[in-house]
Amino acid sequence: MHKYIFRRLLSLIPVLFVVSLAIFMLIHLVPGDPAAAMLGEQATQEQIDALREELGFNEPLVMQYLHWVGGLFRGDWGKSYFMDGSMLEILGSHMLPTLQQTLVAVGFATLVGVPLGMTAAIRRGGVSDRLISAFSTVGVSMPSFLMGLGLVLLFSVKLRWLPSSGYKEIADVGWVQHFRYMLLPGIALGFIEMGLIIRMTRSAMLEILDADYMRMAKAKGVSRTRMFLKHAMKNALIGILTVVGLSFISCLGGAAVTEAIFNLPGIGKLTLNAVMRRDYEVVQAVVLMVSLLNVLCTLVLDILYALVDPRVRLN
Amino acid sequence: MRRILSIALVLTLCLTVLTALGPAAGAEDAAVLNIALDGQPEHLDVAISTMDMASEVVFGSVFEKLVAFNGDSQVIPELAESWEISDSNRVYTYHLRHGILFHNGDEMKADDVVASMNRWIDNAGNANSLVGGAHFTKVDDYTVEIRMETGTLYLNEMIAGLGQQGVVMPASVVEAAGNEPVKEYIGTGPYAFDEWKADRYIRLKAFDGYQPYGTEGDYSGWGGYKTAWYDEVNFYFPGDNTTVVSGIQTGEFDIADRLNGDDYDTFVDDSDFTIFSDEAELPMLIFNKAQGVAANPLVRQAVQAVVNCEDLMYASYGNPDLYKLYSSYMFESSANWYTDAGSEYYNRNDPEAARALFDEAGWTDSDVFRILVRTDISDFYAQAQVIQEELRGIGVQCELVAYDASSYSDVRNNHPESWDAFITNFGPKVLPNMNLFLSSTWAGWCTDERIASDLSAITSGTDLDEARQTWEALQAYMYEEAVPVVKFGTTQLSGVCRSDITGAFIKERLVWIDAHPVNG
Repeated sequence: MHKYIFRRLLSLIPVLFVVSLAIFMLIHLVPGDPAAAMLGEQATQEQIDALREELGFNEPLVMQYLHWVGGLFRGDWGKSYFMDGSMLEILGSHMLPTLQQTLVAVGFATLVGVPLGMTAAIRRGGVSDRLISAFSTVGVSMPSFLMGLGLVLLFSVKLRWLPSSGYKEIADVGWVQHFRYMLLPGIALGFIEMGLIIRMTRSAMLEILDADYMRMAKAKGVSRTRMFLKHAMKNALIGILTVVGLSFISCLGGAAVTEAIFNLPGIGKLTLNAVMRRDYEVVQAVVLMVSLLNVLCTLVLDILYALVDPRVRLN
Repeated sequence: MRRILSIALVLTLCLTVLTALGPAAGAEDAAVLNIALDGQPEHLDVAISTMDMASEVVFGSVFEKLVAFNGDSQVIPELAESWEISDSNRVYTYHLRHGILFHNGDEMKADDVVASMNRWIDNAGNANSLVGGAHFTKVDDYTVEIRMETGTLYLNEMIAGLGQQGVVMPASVVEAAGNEPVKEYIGTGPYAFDEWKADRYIRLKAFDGYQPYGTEGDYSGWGGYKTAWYDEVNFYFPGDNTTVVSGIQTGEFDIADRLNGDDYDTFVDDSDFTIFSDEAELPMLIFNKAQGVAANPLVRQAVQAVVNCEDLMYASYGNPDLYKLYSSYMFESSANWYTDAGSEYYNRNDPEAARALFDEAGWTDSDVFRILVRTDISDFYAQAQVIQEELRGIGVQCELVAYDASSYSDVRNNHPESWDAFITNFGPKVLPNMNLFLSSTWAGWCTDERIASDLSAITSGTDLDEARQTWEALQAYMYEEAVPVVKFGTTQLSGVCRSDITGAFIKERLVWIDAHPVNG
């Protein structure tokens, strides 16, 4: 397994190189000038030119790319033109809310999605199966911004149960208050994933329930609970793990909308602001980091497969 | 199976119970004020930055000036106890208040004022040209003066006004920063800078060593007797309008610094909230006077003649409470410069006169009038569309050249051949010559000789009445002949606060320094 992990980590190098080149070209080929964005609409051309020179934007693109990549090798991820602090500090402080929101979202989607998917499979064709299937269709069809606005209207404005927006750190307000702030964004973000998990769990379970060994277990008089949990669930777990893992990756990279609605200072909001302001090095660093996380998440998933199912051999 | 369902039920129940735990959202300590800002400033050095958001956070609260404007736009003392102006208006001498402490505990003295004011003069173009490059000098520890080559009437107004601000900081901080933004935000105001977490919040805390001046309770505009009513003031940057509205409704925020038209209607009849408004900006069509079809004054006059300002303002702001229609290029609240000269040419909405002017200008069917617009500012886009329709209505081809914010600046500054006019807005100015749309070097390139010479006469004049008359005649000339811009109207900036808080208002931008609980 160690060799496998090492090989996978090595394969990161060409991936990150291609990603770095692609994002660098893309962001620099988009028209627009960060110097003009920094100085505001009423700046003169002389002020803009001076700032471009100061920031090194007048150098050839190749040189700018080499400077950036050279910095990466030295552990320097670049510098924001608009924010203080090192790039790693900026990424870290913005990654934390996104990660916390993602954990709540995937937790919610899994805790609600898996039991409902199992119930639908067990009650195949019944009323509960149809109701759950309809619910999962609503889940995958409902845009997260609509879900977010609906949740705010109900739980914050009408019922006054939960805060409508904002982010409070655990160190400042404790776990419970922190979780209260993360709950609505997490549900809004995780609702689509919940719909997907219900569907995947249902279909994975149905496939297992039709298998010969399940009929054999039933014939041997194994109890229903043991049959579903030990035999069906365990075998369906690979499919469920896949969709949960993909949900995690999808939530990490796709939280910009819910972050905007709930005013979370996350990576999505950072990216959006950076693109709008042409804060080149922030965009580049965020894309690189998200690519890295994607690859690492996939690696973790592969390792989990092997742990869950002894038939899977990583080598 | 029942066990599985039970587990799911218990988990769902847990989530529901958690929602009910803890205090209701927004039930904060009474000594904390939470303000939602329309955006996040890049830094808080208001001697360098012209961003409204930076001013809203620190101006008057963290940083103070020698003098300030009161609610009637009159200059009142702040860090200067008094001042003298020589007969020729060439020498201004300021006597500083004694015992004023910076937030780092040091006393404010003449060295700090000289360093701060000279850095302001070096960085603020308008201030620099007003004083002719002169600098402040120390007379003694509590007296400073500035000696100028030519006299000016307006130095105190310039210091008190907004824009790049002559705020006083410790000399050590100013000297360490040079012409870059300062690294430490140390001022003399009732609140001290505490913490800034990027994209999250800026926090100020009450400063125990603050020395108020004047009579208790006598606060107006940007100055007077200040009290740190709150232990802590937090500024958030929600960004999305719906987040601001729900945040105010649920008590996450106590004050929001600006509302759009739809949100205004949400709060206007709700007794739980107070809306406050004041003049904010002048939206204008700025002509490209350097090249293209708008270089011809007759074309500019024609466009001015066809425009229906009421339609334009309604199309973009959607509620007559949110704007005013008057012709003055300077704000109604401006102390000296408001005038209706040339108003017969404002909001004419006269298609026949416009068509005649286009014909006189030699306009042909192949000519196109191109308006450069930003796609991210819906107000400007709506205004451009109205003008486009009005021009098409008289048989004049008009195209909208649309770009996102970053590309827009590039095209506007570097490709003047691509456009004939663009739309932007301008905040209040202390003097007419501070209006960028009258500058010969800024986009639009206003090189009219009479405009330049009259503005120069106003700035260097020593008789205020004479200067007012010059400006009045100049505005009439600009409406009738030169037409460097078409003014649409004056927008009202509206903020909202919870009705259990009083003392916040808009004066050019949000002023929250005197905000306090109604029963506080």
